[in-house]
Amino acid sequence: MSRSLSEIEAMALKAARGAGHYWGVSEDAGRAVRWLCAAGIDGCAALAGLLSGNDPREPKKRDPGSPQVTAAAWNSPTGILCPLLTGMAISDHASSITAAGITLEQVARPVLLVPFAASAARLAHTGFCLEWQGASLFTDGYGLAHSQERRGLDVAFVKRVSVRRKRGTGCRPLRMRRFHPTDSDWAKLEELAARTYAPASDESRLLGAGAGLSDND
Amino acid sequence: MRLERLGSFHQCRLSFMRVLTRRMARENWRFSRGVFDIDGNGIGRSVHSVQATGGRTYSLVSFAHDLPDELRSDRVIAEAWDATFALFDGIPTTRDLDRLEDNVPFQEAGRLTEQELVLSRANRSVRLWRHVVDSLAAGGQPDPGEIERVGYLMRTTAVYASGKFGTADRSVVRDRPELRLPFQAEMLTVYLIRTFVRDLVNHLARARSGSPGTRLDDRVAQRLGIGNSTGLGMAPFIVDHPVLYNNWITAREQAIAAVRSVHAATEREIAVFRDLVERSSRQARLWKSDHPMQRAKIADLRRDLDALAGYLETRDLGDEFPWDQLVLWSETELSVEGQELVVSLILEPYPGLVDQLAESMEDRNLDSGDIDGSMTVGQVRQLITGQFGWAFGTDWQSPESIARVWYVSEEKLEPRLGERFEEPLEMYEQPIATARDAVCTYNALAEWPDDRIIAGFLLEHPGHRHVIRRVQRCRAGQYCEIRDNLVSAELLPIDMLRSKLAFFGATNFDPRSDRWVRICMFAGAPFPDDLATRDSDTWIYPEPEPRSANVP
Repeated sequence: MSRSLSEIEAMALKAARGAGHYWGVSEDAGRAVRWLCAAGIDGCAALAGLLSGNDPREPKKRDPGSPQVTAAAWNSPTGILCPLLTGMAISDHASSITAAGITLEQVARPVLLVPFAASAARLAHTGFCLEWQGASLFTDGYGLAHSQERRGLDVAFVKRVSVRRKRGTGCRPLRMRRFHPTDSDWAKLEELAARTYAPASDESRLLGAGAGLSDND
Repeated sequence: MRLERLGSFHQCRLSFMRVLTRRMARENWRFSRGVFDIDGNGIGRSVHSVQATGGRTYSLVSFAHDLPDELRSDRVIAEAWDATFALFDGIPTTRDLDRLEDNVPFQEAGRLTEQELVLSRANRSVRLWRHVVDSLAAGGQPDPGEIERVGYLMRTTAVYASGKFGTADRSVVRDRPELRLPFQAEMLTVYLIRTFVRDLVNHLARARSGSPGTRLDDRVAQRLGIGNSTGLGMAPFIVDHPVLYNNWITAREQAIAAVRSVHAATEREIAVFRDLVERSSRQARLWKSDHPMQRAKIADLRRDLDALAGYLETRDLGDEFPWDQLVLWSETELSVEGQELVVSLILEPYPGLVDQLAESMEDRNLDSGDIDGSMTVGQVRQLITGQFGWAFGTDWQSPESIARVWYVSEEKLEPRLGERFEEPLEMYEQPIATARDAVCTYNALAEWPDDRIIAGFLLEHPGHRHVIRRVQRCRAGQYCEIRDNLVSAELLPIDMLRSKLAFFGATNFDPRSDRWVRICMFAGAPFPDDLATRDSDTWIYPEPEPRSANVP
């Protein structure tokens, strides 16, 4: 089913929140998925794939985590880098990522890094290049250029991603205003999003919205 | 801005309904009725179209239903309505209409496409509807007193747009001059609904009377607006769109400042003002509410208007800086409700100073959510104290300060307000408690040196990310944040609703509880055929009524 980008952003935000991420992180997840879909890349599949492994009620050792950003190679104490938490660190540290770049080790759903590289590009007024096996992308913050090979965009996991600052042109602006996520990805996101909704009680039905008067007047 | 003041806002020249009617008249928009396929029982569909400047056409597609009384509810949890609507981008074909008929009557349970800009529905005011149809069918006209008491034949209970339920994203229309400013598509929808409602009531009365001449008198019809019931869904919007909201308030404040700087008022300007003060008094007399708090505010406003009339008798607006003098006087002599009316009214004689400020009321910065991680901790601290300095005096541990929880209900996915210490809701809390969270982030920063960059803090404390984003975004203007505690035991959500609705151009605020409110829209506005010949601007102030009217 065709979804508007604002529906997609709202659903991605809620799904990330439902999967146990903080509000600020969830906001970035929503923005990232919207950005990808606007570029014609299935951000919903990437997020659904990433989050369906998480359960905030039972955090596992192998849940993707935040990077340690001290050296040129970023890795996670949990073993796998979360592309949301890592993407935010890329964007937040945009000014210190050079043309020599950094290497990310063991990354889940690397395509979710791309919108954060775009944010880094906007903040640092330059371009950023991302490469992993099967994918090579460049963003100036407002558009995207990527190699013919699209296989790498869908991968669930890669051993290594390089991120570096690069001047360049040739980005295609984001033109998509809607996207068709698959039914199963959307259902996964909906299931996670549903964890953010409070179950109704008779009391909340009446009090929560403050109704109770007749409308037949 | 404090909630008490926001909760006393009135419409003004910058309100979105008035921006729309001025534009429609100025640009000579062309209206037509395509389909009107509705039977004598009021069941069927119709299309009302308008061609805007630049040649684009928008069509209100309406579905009229026969709704039993027991199903009529203004609550968002309702599942059936007297009429349902979509604003279609263009002129719909029969196939489009068939597709919409399969979806629009089901509202949230249906599915729209990028060709639809708005989804809405409305219920009849049962009492006035019957009275009007009965009167017309019997060959007469409805009692003007009844019309004034209710104010509308139908009230909308939701107006969805900007991508909701599959409608077109905001990005589809943001570059169209006629829909660029906030809520213009939604206001256009309601304006066209009003035309549909008039046509429907005439049609049903005609079906009953059997006489083709049966129709609601034009002047009576013009007094009728469209009602609206608005609940909590609107309150988080102004928290979620801080820059947009800032731009609205800033435009209004700039307009007020410009008029207060006027050195001398001309006779014509003074006459405009005096006329609208009089008409405002009439509006205040007509304004009805059963809510004790609103009744008290209306009583204050009526006293304020008497005091204002007294001021105009004894003081001459021909003095230097008359509007500034008047505002200074109002600040000591009038209630907040009256003060806010005065600042709205002084804008009226000055379209040249005020109206172009409407152009600055949108938010075009789509990347304003980017966090600048290179900002230092010291700078972030300054942003927090600058925006939330007032909040450091609050005891954020006390139950009264954090009594409420904003959450989203599973049932209808709508925002709700609950009691933190009485219901198990905290785990579902939405990030609406901006001041509490900002103070919490400030405290978490305590050990961090001023010269570190905030990126380091964010990496270690992602739980504060939403606050850092917000304080950076809200550098955009001084009115981004409501300077009050939005989870306090004292909170009245209707204050948040009122400020937004006043920017729409709503009148006759009638709170039905502390968290939902009925209003009236477009009452007094000329219908499409009269836009060119009647007042398309100050219609919102009721005309003085002939003495025969049955009005207290």
